[in-house]
Amino acid sequence: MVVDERRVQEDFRAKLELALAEYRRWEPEWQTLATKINKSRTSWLLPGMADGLGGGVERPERPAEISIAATDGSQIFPDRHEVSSCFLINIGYILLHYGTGEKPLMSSKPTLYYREEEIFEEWGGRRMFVNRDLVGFKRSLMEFTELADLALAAKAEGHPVVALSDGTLILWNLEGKPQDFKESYLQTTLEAMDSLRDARIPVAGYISQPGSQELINALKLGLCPLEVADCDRCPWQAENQLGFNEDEIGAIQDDLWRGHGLPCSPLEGLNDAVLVSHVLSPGQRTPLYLSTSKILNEYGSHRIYYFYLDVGAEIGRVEIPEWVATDPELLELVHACMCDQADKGQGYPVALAEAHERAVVRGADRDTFYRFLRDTFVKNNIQTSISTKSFKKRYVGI
Amino acid sequence: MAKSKGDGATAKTRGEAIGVITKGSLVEGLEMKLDSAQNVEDMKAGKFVVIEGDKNDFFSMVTDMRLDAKNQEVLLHPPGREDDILRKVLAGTSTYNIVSLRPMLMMPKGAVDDDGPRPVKAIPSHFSEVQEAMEHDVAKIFGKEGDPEGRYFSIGNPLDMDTQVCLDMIRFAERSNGIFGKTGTGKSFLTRLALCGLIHYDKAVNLIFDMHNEYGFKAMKENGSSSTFVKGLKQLFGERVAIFSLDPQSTRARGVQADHEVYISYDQITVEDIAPLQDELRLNPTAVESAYLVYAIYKERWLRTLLALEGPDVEEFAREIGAHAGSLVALHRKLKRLENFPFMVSKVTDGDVVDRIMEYLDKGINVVLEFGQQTSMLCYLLVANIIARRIHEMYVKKSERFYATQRTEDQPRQLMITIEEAHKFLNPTAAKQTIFGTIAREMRKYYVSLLVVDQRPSSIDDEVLSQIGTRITALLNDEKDIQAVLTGVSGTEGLRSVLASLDSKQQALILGHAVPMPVVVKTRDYDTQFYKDMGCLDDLPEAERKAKIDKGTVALYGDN
Amino acid sequence: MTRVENVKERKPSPLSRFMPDEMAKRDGAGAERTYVGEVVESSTTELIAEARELHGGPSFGEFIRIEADLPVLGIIFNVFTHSIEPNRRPTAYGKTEEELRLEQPQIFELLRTEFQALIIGYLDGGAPVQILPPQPARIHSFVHLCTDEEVRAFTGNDDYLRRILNTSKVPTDELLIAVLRHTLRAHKHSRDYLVRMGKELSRLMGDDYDRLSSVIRRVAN
Repeated sequence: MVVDERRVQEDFRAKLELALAEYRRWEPEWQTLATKINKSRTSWLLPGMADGLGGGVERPERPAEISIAATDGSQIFPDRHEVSSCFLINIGYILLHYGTGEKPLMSSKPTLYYREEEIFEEWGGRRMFVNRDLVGFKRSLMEFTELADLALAAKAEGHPVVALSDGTLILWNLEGKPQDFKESYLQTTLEAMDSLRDARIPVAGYISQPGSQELINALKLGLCPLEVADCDRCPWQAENQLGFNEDEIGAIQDDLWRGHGLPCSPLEGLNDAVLVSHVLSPGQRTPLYLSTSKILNEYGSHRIYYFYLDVGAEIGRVEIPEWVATDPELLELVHACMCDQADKGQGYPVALAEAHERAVVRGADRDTFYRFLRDTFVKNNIQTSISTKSFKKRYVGI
Repeated sequence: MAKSKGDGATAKTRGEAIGVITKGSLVEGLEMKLDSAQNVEDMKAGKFVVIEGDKNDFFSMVTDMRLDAKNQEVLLHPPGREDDILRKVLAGTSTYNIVSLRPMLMMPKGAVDDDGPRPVKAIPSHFSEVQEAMEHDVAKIFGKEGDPEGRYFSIGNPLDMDTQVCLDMIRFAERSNGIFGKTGTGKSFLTRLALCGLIHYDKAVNLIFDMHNEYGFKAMKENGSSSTFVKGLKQLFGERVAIFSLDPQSTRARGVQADHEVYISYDQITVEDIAPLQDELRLNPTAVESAYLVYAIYKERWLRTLLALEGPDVEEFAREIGAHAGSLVALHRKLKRLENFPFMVSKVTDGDVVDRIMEYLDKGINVVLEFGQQTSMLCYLLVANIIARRIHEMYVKKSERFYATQRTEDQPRQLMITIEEAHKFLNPTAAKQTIFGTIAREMRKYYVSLLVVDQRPSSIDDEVLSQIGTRITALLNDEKDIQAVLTGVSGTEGLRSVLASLDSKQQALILGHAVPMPVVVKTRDYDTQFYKDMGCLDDLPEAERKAKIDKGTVALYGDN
Repeated sequence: MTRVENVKERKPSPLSRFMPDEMAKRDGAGAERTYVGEVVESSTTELIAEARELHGGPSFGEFIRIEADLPVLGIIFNVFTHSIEPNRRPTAYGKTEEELRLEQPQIFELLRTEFQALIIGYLDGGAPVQILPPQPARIHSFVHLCTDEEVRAFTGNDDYLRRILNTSKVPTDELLIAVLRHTLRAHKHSRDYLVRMGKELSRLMGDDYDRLSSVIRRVAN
């Protein structure tokens, strides 16, 4: 057991050292790698490179007066045990003003969905009861549109503002949804993006403890002996060996059977954060990378760039739309504010943390919610039923 | 006087509350917790207060005060001098003052005036309120000057009060009285005041043996370093006072013409007159017996005969009459001193002086007998004895006649004889020999009483003391004297401390027959106002004086 | 700050829809009210109120009046500021309050000042009654500071001291001192008043002279 554990560790260190070596090798020749990325067809997501592979960009200074807008959401899912198949979305709003001593805005607004047309939706020609999945979509969409509204309102009141969103800006999970659904959601999101862009309010999504491996994937590509990699036809995969001649196979199989697996295997199991943490010092960010998620093809001018940021406690991933990425002023602002926010929040952007605190619906709140609902129903003389299972969980509230 | 009556007038009849009764007994007196707003320094011994019980008001005197503390801690760690607030806080709570009260009289609430105060037979209940006495309280007890009977004579004010304390002059005249106080506390002043009262209200006619020439005419007022003269009785009462003088020269020297000069012949002196002089003459008892032997043979001429002898003849004389030679020689030698007195004459020319005095007294004219330069005790004792004895004899006769006839016109005038240094006459030995002892013991049977003035009351015979009706006492220090003054008074414990704490001037404790309860007074000022009150007209403007005299004449003799 | 004022003139504020309900209310009708807090817990003998402003609670020992038909009177015996989130504790930042206001503005939103008051009586037709009120103050009633006049009227006699001494909740002496200092101020620092109250305390404290002298000294200082 101990021996196993140690071997795993040694193995990991060897991989990391290899990754770092590769990273350094490609750093000066990042354009070569970028070209290879553009040409290759891989089964993994690769980063688009705009201004390099590596090297840290120092933390810029934050303007003395700046406001940070942030939202987060939570929900009470529809529950068949309860009196009504309604659901609730609670959005937490945070608007923190720095450098002015102004009173911050910290609030939350719940929205109750209970009408027939609200709990049944029709997508792809199918009328369906709003399930957990849909509520989740609805919530994250609302988080973003409300963030945009909040930031715009703040701007309208004269505050220089940066909008922070919790999590990715890439709606990759819309893939595979009915077309009308996907379009509707995308459109709403992009309209919010448009208004932010028009108001020149930088927006950024922050992903804590990112598991993404795009950089590692790039290095893996760099390890591939083929000039143009095509994973679908990877000769190191047994099922693909049919099309190669003996010599070629022999050479490949030598490598393969010497215990290296595929040529790209040595970097398997690493992620970008681990790599970057050995490259950046606190406050530094990586160069910008372009996300190559397929959904982004539909983002138009809002294609998402990202960078990794050493906030000290962790490596975070910051996603920004193109118009922020290409505006050095806004980019610097985002970089500076992210670092500052993380400093203030002990590693996690404080505005987001507070937004979460506001948004979260706790058990007691949930019960209050249902009690309120029932009282309301009773008051309005609507027959309701409560399943006994749920009834037992109640306590006498305020 | 119940509080429920509650109108404004009633409210005014109550003095300021100064505390509440917390414990006590009828025998030992009461204790009051002093209200914390009161300053203990205002609670003087002798102060006059009223305890408002449920049914009775108790008129009481402050006799003692005590500082007390609820908690020993306070006494171990007293607040600092600068801790003014804490001191005030503690006052009346942790630290408090207990004032001892001696209830002297009680009066049922709502009693009509005739009821009058009664002796204390009950005590007030717990937490009865104690109030400062008010004028009407004092008046209720001591009466008020100006009553139709002329009964009440204001002698001064209660401590810290501006109201009168009156002596009941009828009761005062009925019994023998004492004025006590150590030297320099104003005994003669008190005496003069009392005499003025007696004369002014005509409750007794006075015979005053004025040893130091203080009563008849001007007298020195002791007033620190400067001395002023105050009016004597003669000046105040004019024709109603006659001055007899043993030393007319001295009297004249003071600018006064004596009404009568006093001479005493040897024949007027009896052995009884000599006997009380044993101390002064240092006679032994056998000497007095020898005198009786001489008297047995020569009767009233005994002294003349004895003194006529020259030294060597006395032994011979002794053998002749069968007396002890040594004793008689001693008697002779000592009595020789009498020859030195200028007023001793072998034969009086213009009648017997005692008869003359009696004449005056019968007319209601008060007699002051001045001793002039003859201030020796021997002289005073001798003269006072001789005269008093004979006056007394006459009074006895008069009284017996009155008892026989029972006619009002035969009733003798009440006579009060004032003697100073009274213990010389009334010490246990002398009291049995002198006429004064007899007078004191007889009480008022023969219409004669004494006004004894003395600084050593303890030297006076107990029996005599117990017969003294009213005692007016200035400050006394000596424990024996205090004890003596309080002899025969109940509840003396409290008064003892009061007596010892009197001011040395113008303060006196009055107790006994003429006052319903013991009371400390600040004595009345002996001043122009007093002269006026006594009817002395000298200082009045001419017209006013004339009017008054006319009015007096009309009153005396009718309108024609 | 001028910017803030300008913003307020423009109505309605674009941000107002994001504001918490109570905050919007406070900026509106409640602004001119003079209350210092609002009752959030109430009983016959004591109550807890939330201060209107952070660190804006009444002082220890101060007299308060709670709006009601029979206004309830109390004295503050505890003021505390704490996190409104049960599972979030304030931590040390090593910064001055001014720095924190500029750079960590959110923390002040997470803190509430609350105060606890001992009920000592009520007003009946404006007249002070030194008896516990028949009904406790209502939740959400406004709390006002008593005027000097009200304090004087209520503390004319000494019954309130007994109430304080009989409470076991707090360091009684400290509360007593604080209350007496407030009372004394209302009585224009009258020494006579202090002496009168001191005497009452002396009675109430019985034999405890040390305690009494310590209280009196500290009040008089």
